[in-house]
Amino acid sequence: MNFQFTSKFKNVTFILMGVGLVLFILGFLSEKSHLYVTPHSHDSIALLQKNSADPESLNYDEQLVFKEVSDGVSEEDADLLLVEYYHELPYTVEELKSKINEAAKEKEITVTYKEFSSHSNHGHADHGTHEVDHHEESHADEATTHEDHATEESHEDHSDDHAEEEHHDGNAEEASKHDDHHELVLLMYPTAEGDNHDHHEGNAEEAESGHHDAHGSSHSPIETLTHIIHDEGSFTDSHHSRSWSNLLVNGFFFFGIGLGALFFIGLQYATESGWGVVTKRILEGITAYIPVGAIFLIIVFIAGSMGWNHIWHWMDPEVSNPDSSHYDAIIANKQPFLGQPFFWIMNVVYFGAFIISARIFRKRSLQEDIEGGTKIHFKNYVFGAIFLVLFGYLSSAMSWHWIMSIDTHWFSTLFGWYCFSGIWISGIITILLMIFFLKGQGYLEFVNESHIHDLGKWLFAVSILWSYLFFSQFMLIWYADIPEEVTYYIARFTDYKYILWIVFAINLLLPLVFLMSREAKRSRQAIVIIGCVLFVTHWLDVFIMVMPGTVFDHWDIGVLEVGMFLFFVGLFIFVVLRAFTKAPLLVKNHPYLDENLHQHT
Amino acid sequence: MSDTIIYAMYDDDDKVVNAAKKLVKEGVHVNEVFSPMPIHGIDDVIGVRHTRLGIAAFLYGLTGLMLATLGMKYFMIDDWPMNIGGKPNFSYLENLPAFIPITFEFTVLCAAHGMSITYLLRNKTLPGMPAQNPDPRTTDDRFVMEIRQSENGQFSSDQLHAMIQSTDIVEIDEKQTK
Repeated sequence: MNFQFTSKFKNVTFILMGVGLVLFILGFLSEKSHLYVTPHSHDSIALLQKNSADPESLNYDEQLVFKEVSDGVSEEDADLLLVEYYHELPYTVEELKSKINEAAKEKEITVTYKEFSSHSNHGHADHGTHEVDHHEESHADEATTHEDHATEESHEDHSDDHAEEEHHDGNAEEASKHDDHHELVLLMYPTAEGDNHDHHEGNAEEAESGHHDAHGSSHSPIETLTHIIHDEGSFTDSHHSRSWSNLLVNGFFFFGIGLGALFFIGLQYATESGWGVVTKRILEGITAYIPVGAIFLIIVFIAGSMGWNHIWHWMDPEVSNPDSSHYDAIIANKQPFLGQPFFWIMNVVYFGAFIISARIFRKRSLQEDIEGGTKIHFKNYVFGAIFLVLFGYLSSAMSWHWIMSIDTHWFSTLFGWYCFSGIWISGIITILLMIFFLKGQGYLEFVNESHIHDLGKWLFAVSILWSYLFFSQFMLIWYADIPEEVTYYIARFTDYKYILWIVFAINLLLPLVFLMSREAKRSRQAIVIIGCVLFVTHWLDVFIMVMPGTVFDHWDIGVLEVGMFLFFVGLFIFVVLRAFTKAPLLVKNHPYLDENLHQHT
Repeated sequence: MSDTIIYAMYDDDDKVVNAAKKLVKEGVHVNEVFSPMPIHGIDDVIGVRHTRLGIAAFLYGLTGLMLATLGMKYFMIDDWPMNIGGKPNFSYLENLPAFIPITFEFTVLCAAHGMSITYLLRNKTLPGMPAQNPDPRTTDDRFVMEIRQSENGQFSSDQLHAMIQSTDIVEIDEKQTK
């Protein structure tokens, strides 16, 4: 019997997609730039920082800055901050203002100014700059394996200056309310000329020379810093990092579900399994999402290659150009693998292999319904084995190309397996949820408790496999403590706090404790509840694989993320349910069908 | 306690399952089925209580986990702290990741061994123990169903025999115990 895709369910999936899309667009429109940086002179820098209307969502450093700023400006006014450091003012204040006004006009941003005079003794402003300094430094640190002591030094001396100096915010102009949705607050912290100036010059020279050593080019430390922050720490509206990264997260997660089901089909063919014959059509239905999911991934990859998003910074040809200021020897050495030509060749191979395999499996399965006999069964056996070998290589290489290379300098030999186990477990969860959905609709009366029990065992076992691989990867890196490896976890622990451990704990303990007993593995309630929770936590797992390398600490799970997730859930369900309508839900003529119909465990 | 045990022999696993189903339906209590291989579903048919080996395994695993934790706490933290790879062992919690593999291995070791030994003991099949099956052929290609007279007091011996004969048997045997 085919699944009847009634208009009721169609509407549900459309509503899911629609709500998701609306939420996503809302999130997209409210997405703010996080950090702009522009150099002003050889030792001054303008840092435009995200200032969300919601101070709670800011991290600690940002909150401090925010508080200092909002002393003079009401919170709603400040959408963006410009924090300005300079020692020698290159322009008069009025000139500077007019320049900024021009730039702001182009971006349709209203600018509000808040000035601090140089002879002040107000501790707050001081503190504020200090914190900003810190924040920036941490960005520079985070950004870099470029050994750039120069910038750090120049920064230290900034904060020194500020610490020694006493400021007070004199004639701070109150910001007037504007209707425009972007507003700019310009902070200016002039430092006094004189003793400090000399001190600073000395440092700058040091910094300059240090910089020459490091890069051998004529960039000033400030410019270098600007590049670093701009390339690795800053996000501008024009790149929409958050949206692109989310498209990658969801694209990969749902594509992975299809891939997990495909792998499971291949595994069952290669091992000539009889236990899963009655659920074969469910797996085939889920693999129908693979071509659809590929589209979204390809969109992200094309955008990355064209420079529309900065998810993979090795895609920038400048990083492997020795003459460029962006030159990065480590990435340049990885160019044969992490280079546009090979990346695209491999993408053709990945998508080609997966989509064609899925089609072959599906075609043969339908053919078997008509022809019968064991010929197709043995053909499937051979092809299943070949597919597994292929999948072993491709799934690993795929996860390196797509996910691991986001943190380009970092590598882990276990990453492929870790990704793969996540793919597999997500696939199993989805298979179980789909079976329960169809059973609830009165289909699949031939799927009995024993079949559910078998899949429940897989859910239990693969959850532990995932946890095992997760922990193995973590423990080896933790123990060896090699700087180039630990960066991965440091970024995740500092900016993402406990998410990593929460994901790990739930993905391990929930199935371990609640699915251990035989009764739970057969129970609809237990599996649906645990399955739904694990579905979300494995999505979070992908989230935390991608996000720290693309949006750094500026992550959020807001309407944008939820919207896109809902959209993909709706789309996925729609595609899969539509695939269920195209063939009977029970295979015919499979050699093990009769045995499996009487499955008893 | 004297008892009469009836052994009914079959030559196919389907036949023994069907026979058991039929007898159980008629109210006979089947004590045991001897088979060369596991027969799926037979335990539900003859009403064997579900095994508690899993619970035992969990307890053994828990024992292993605690022993490993206590042992390593004593060896590596209290008795002789060492600086391994720049990670001084002064605190168990801070070095927890390093202890996880051993904890895991020891948990598995205890659970697996405990479970195997319990299984062999409970089935009285430790090496050297006398065989429990009534007929050596049940290790080859025959299936034997054991029915005790004492557990089927509502039927006379003749009634039991008649019921068993009506199933697809190849042989029937009777044994008296003292």
